[in-house]
Amino acid sequence: MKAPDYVEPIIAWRAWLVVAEVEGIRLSSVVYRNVWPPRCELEATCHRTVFAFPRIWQRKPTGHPAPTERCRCGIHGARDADHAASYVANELWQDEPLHWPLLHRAIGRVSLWGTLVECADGWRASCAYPQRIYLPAHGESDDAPVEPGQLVASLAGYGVPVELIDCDLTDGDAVVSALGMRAAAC
Amino acid sequence: MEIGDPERTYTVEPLEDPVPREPSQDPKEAPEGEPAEPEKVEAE
Repeated sequence: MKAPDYVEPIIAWRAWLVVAEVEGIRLSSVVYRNVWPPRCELEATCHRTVFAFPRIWQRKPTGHPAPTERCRCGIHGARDADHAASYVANELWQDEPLHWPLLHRAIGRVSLWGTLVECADGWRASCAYPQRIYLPAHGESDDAPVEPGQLVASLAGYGVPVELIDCDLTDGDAVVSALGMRAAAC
Repeated sequence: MEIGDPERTYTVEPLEDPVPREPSQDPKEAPEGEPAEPEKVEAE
Protein backbone atom coordinates (compact mmCIF):
# COMPACT_ATOMS: atom_id res chain seq x y z
CA MET A 1 0.00 0.00 0.00
CA LYS A 2 1.42 3.37 -1.08
CA ALA A 3 1.06 6.48 1.08
CA PRO A 4 -0.66 9.45 -0.60
CA ASP A 5 1.46 12.40 -1.69
CA TYR A 6 -0.97 14.97 -0.24
CA VAL A 7 -3.79 14.92 2.31
CA GLU A 8 -5.64 18.10 1.27
CA PRO A 9 -7.71 18.32 -1.91
CA ILE A 10 -6.48 20.56 -4.69
CA ILE A 11 -8.83 23.54 -5.16
CA ALA A 12 -9.25 24.54 -8.79
CA TRP A 13 -11.65 26.59 -10.90
CA ARG A 14 -14.11 25.31 -13.43
CA ALA A 15 -17.28 26.14 -15.34
CA TRP A 16 -20.56 24.26 -15.35
CA LEU A 17 -23.85 24.30 -17.16
CA VAL A 18 -26.94 24.47 -14.96
CA VAL A 19 -29.51 22.07 -16.39
CA ALA A 20 -32.99 20.83 -15.54
CA GLU A 21 -32.33 17.13 -15.17
CA VAL A 22 -35.08 14.60 -14.40
CA GLU A 23 -34.28 14.50 -10.70
CA GLY A 24 -33.87 18.24 -10.32
CA ILE A 25 -31.67 21.19 -11.18
CA ARG A 26 -28.09 20.02 -11.50
CA LEU A 27 -24.62 21.06 -12.57
CA SER A 28 -23.34 19.52 -15.78
CA SER A 29 -19.88 19.53 -17.32
CA VAL A 30 -19.51 21.88 -20.27
CA VAL A 31 -17.55 19.71 -22.68
CA TYR A 32 -18.79 16.26 -21.71
CA ARG A 33 -22.36 16.01 -20.56
CA ASN A 34 -21.70 14.52 -17.15
CA VAL A 35 -24.25 15.54 -14.54
CA TRP A 36 -22.62 16.20 -11.18
CA PRO A 37 -24.58 14.33 -8.48
CA PRO A 38 -25.35 16.20 -5.24
CA ARG A 39 -23.75 14.89 -2.04
CA CYS A 40 -21.60 12.41 -3.96
CA GLU A 41 -18.27 12.78 -5.73
CA LEU A 42 -18.03 12.66 -9.50
CA GLU A 43 -15.64 9.92 -10.58
CA ALA A 44 -13.74 10.20 -13.83
CA THR A 45 -13.98 7.73 -16.67
CA CYS A 46 -12.16 7.88 -19.98
CA HIS A 47 -14.56 8.68 -22.85
CA ARG A 48 -11.97 8.06 -25.55
CA THR A 49 -12.37 5.05 -27.80
CA VAL A 50 -9.79 3.16 -29.79
CA PHE A 51 -9.94 0.77 -32.73
CA ALA A 52 -10.86 -2.78 -31.70
CA PHE A 53 -8.25 -4.93 -33.41
CA PRO A 54 -8.81 -7.01 -35.55
CA ARG A 55 -12.34 -5.58 -36.11
CA ILE A 56 -11.05 -2.12 -36.83
CA TRP A 57 -14.48 -0.89 -37.93
CA GLN A 58 -15.51 -1.19 -34.30
CA ARG A 59 -14.31 1.09 -31.55
CA LYS A 60 -14.01 0.22 -27.89
CA PRO A 61 -13.34 2.22 -24.71
CA THR A 62 -9.71 2.61 -23.74
CA GLY A 63 -10.48 0.78 -20.52
CA HIS A 64 -7.76 2.52 -18.56
CA PRO A 65 -8.39 4.23 -15.23
CA ALA A 66 -8.73 8.01 -15.53
CA PRO A 67 -6.66 10.13 -15.54
CA THR A 68 -3.34 9.19 -17.12
CA GLU A 69 -0.62 11.45 -18.45
CA ARG A 70 -0.77 9.88 -21.91
CA CYS A 71 -4.51 10.57 -22.32
CA ARG A 72 -6.55 13.75 -21.89
CA CYS A 73 -9.11 12.19 -19.58
CA GLY A 74 -10.01 13.09 -16.01
CA ILE A 75 -12.10 15.80 -14.41
CA HIS A 76 -10.54 19.12 -15.40
CA GLY A 77 -9.89 22.06 -13.13
CA ALA A 78 -8.09 25.29 -14.03
CA ARG A 79 -5.43 27.02 -11.96
CA ASP A 80 -6.95 30.48 -12.54
CA ALA A 81 -10.48 31.83 -12.49
CA ASP A 82 -10.05 33.66 -15.79
CA HIS A 83 -9.26 30.40 -17.53
CA ALA A 84 -12.50 28.85 -16.23
CA ALA A 85 -14.45 32.06 -16.95
CA SER A 86 -13.67 31.73 -20.64
CA TYR A 87 -15.62 28.45 -20.58
CA VAL A 88 -18.59 30.13 -18.91
CA ALA A 89 -18.69 32.85 -21.54
CA ASN A 90 -17.92 30.88 -24.70
CA GLU A 91 -20.33 28.92 -26.85
CA LEU A 92 -18.52 25.59 -26.58
CA TRP A 93 -21.57 24.04 -24.94
CA GLN A 94 -23.40 24.35 -28.27
CA ASP A 95 -21.03 21.88 -29.98
CA GLU A 96 -23.01 18.89 -28.79
CA PRO A 97 -26.74 18.57 -28.18
CA LEU A 98 -27.77 18.94 -24.57
CA HIS A 99 -29.57 16.08 -22.88
CA TRP A 100 -31.41 18.45 -20.56
CA PRO A 101 -32.81 21.99 -20.86
CA LEU A 102 -30.10 24.56 -20.21
CA LEU A 103 -31.08 27.05 -17.48
CA HIS A 104 -27.87 28.96 -16.83
CA ARG A 105 -24.11 28.70 -16.58
CA ALA A 106 -21.98 28.75 -13.46
CA ILE A 107 -18.38 29.12 -12.37
CA GLY A 108 -16.86 27.94 -9.13
CA ARG A 109 -14.17 26.29 -7.17
CA VAL A 110 -13.88 22.53 -7.21
CA SER A 111 -12.15 20.06 -4.90
CA LEU A 112 -10.00 17.55 -6.76
CA TRP A 113 -8.55 14.40 -5.28
CA GLY A 114 -7.63 10.79 -5.95
CA THR A 115 -5.16 10.46 -8.79
CA LEU A 116 -4.17 13.88 -10.18
CA VAL A 117 -2.28 14.75 -13.32
CA GLU A 118 -0.87 18.22 -12.85
CA CYS A 119 -0.71 20.19 -16.10
CA ALA A 120 0.67 23.59 -17.04
CA ASP A 121 -2.61 25.44 -16.42
CA GLY A 122 -4.55 23.09 -14.15
CA TRP A 123 -5.21 19.53 -13.14
CA ARG A 124 -6.99 16.39 -14.29
CA ALA A 125 -8.37 14.33 -11.40
CA SER A 126 -10.10 11.03 -10.73
CA CYS A 127 -12.55 12.49 -8.17
CA ALA A 128 -14.16 15.91 -7.82
CA TYR A 129 -16.88 17.81 -6.00
CA PRO A 130 -17.92 21.50 -6.12
CA GLN A 131 -16.47 23.54 -3.26
CA ARG A 132 -18.24 26.85 -4.01
CA ILE A 133 -20.62 27.81 -6.81
CA TYR A 134 -21.06 31.29 -8.31
CA LEU A 135 -23.96 32.19 -10.59
CA PRO A 136 -23.78 35.30 -12.78
CA ALA A 137 -26.81 37.42 -11.94
CA HIS A 138 -27.47 38.22 -15.58
CA GLY A 139 -28.01 35.55 -18.18
CA GLU A 140 -27.99 35.78 -21.92
CA SER A 141 -31.75 36.12 -22.04
CA ASP A 142 -34.22 38.04 -19.94
CA ASP A 143 -36.88 35.40 -20.56
CA ALA A 144 -34.91 32.59 -18.93
CA PRO A 145 -37.23 29.91 -17.55
CA VAL A 146 -35.78 30.22 -14.05
CA GLU A 147 -34.39 33.36 -12.40
CA PRO A 148 -30.77 33.09 -11.20
CA GLY A 149 -31.99 33.90 -7.69
CA GLN A 150 -34.22 30.84 -7.74
CA LEU A 151 -31.34 28.71 -9.03
CA VAL A 152 -29.30 29.62 -5.96
CA ALA A 153 -31.91 27.90 -3.82
CA SER A 154 -32.21 24.96 -6.20
CA LEU A 155 -28.46 24.32 -6.16
CA ALA A 156 -28.32 24.43 -2.37
CA GLY A 157 -28.83 20.67 -2.51
CA TYR A 158 -25.13 20.34 -3.23
CA GLY A 159 -24.49 21.39 0.37
CA VAL A 160 -21.86 23.99 -0.55
CA PRO A 161 -22.09 27.81 -0.70
CA VAL A 162 -23.93 29.10 -3.78
CA GLU A 163 -23.73 32.85 -4.49
CA LEU A 164 -24.88 35.31 -7.12
CA ILE A 165 -22.20 37.52 -8.64
CA ASP A 166 -23.12 40.79 -10.31
CA CYS A 167 -22.07 40.26 -13.91
CA ASP A 168 -23.21 39.01 -17.28
CA LEU A 169 -22.25 35.42 -18.04
CA THR A 170 -21.42 36.21 -21.67
CA ASP A 171 -18.61 38.54 -20.61
CA GLY A 172 -15.69 36.50 -19.26
CA ASP A 173 -13.76 39.56 -18.08
CA ALA A 174 -16.80 40.79 -16.16
CA VAL A 175 -17.14 37.37 -14.50
CA VAL A 176 -13.51 37.47 -13.34
CA SER A 177 -13.90 41.06 -12.15
CA ALA A 178 -17.04 40.14 -10.16
CA LEU A 179 -15.23 37.20 -8.58
CA GLY A 180 -12.38 39.51 -7.61
CA MET A 181 -14.77 41.97 -5.98
CA ARG A 182 -16.47 39.13 -4.13
CA ALA A 183 -13.13 37.87 -2.83
CA ALA A 184 -12.15 41.39 -1.73
CA ALA A 185 -15.44 41.79 0.12
CA CYS A 186 -14.93 38.54 2.08
CA MET B 1 -11.03 22.41 -20.88
CA GLU B 2 -7.61 23.08 -22.31
CA ILE B 3 -5.15 23.05 -19.40
CA GLY B 4 -1.86 22.36 -21.13
CA ASP B 5 0.61 19.52 -21.10
CA PRO B 6 0.98 17.11 -18.18
CA GLU B 7 3.88 17.68 -15.85
CA ARG B 8 3.56 15.09 -13.08
CA THR B 9 1.14 12.65 -11.45
CA TYR B 10 0.43 12.28 -7.76
CA THR B 11 -2.18 11.01 -5.34
CA VAL B 12 -4.35 13.00 -2.94
CA GLU B 13 -6.27 11.32 -0.14
CA PRO B 14 -7.99 14.08 1.88
CA LEU B 15 -8.12 13.58 5.62
CA GLU B 16 -11.55 15.24 5.62
CA ASP B 17 -14.24 14.23 3.15
CA PRO B 18 -14.65 17.04 0.56
CA VAL B 19 -18.24 15.90 -0.04
CA PRO B 20 -20.94 17.20 2.34
CA ARG B 21 -22.75 13.89 2.42
CA GLU B 22 -26.24 13.35 3.71
CA PRO B 23 -26.13 12.39 7.36
CA SER B 24 -26.40 8.66 7.54
CA GLN B 25 -29.69 7.47 8.86
CA ASP B 26 -29.12 4.62 11.21
CA PRO B 27 -31.95 2.17 11.12
CA LYS B 28 -34.03 2.67 14.19
CA GLU B 29 -34.06 -0.17 16.60
CA ALA B 30 -37.10 -2.28 16.08
CA PRO B 31 -39.59 -1.66 18.84
CA GLU B 32 -39.71 -4.46 21.20
CA GLY B 33 -42.82 -6.54 20.86
CA GLU B 34 -45.07 -7.72 23.55
CA PRO B 35 -43.19 -9.79 26.06
CA ALA B 36 -43.83 -13.43 25.46
CA GLU B 37 -46.30 -15.08 27.72
CA PRO B 38 -44.61 -17.27 30.29
CA GLU B 39 -44.79 -20.81 29.27
CA LYS B 40 -47.26 -22.71 31.38
CA VAL B 41 -45.94 -25.86 32.84
CA GLU B 42 -47.66 -28.21 35.15
CA ALA B 43 -46.57 -28.00 38.69
CA GLU B 44 -45.07 -31.13 39.97
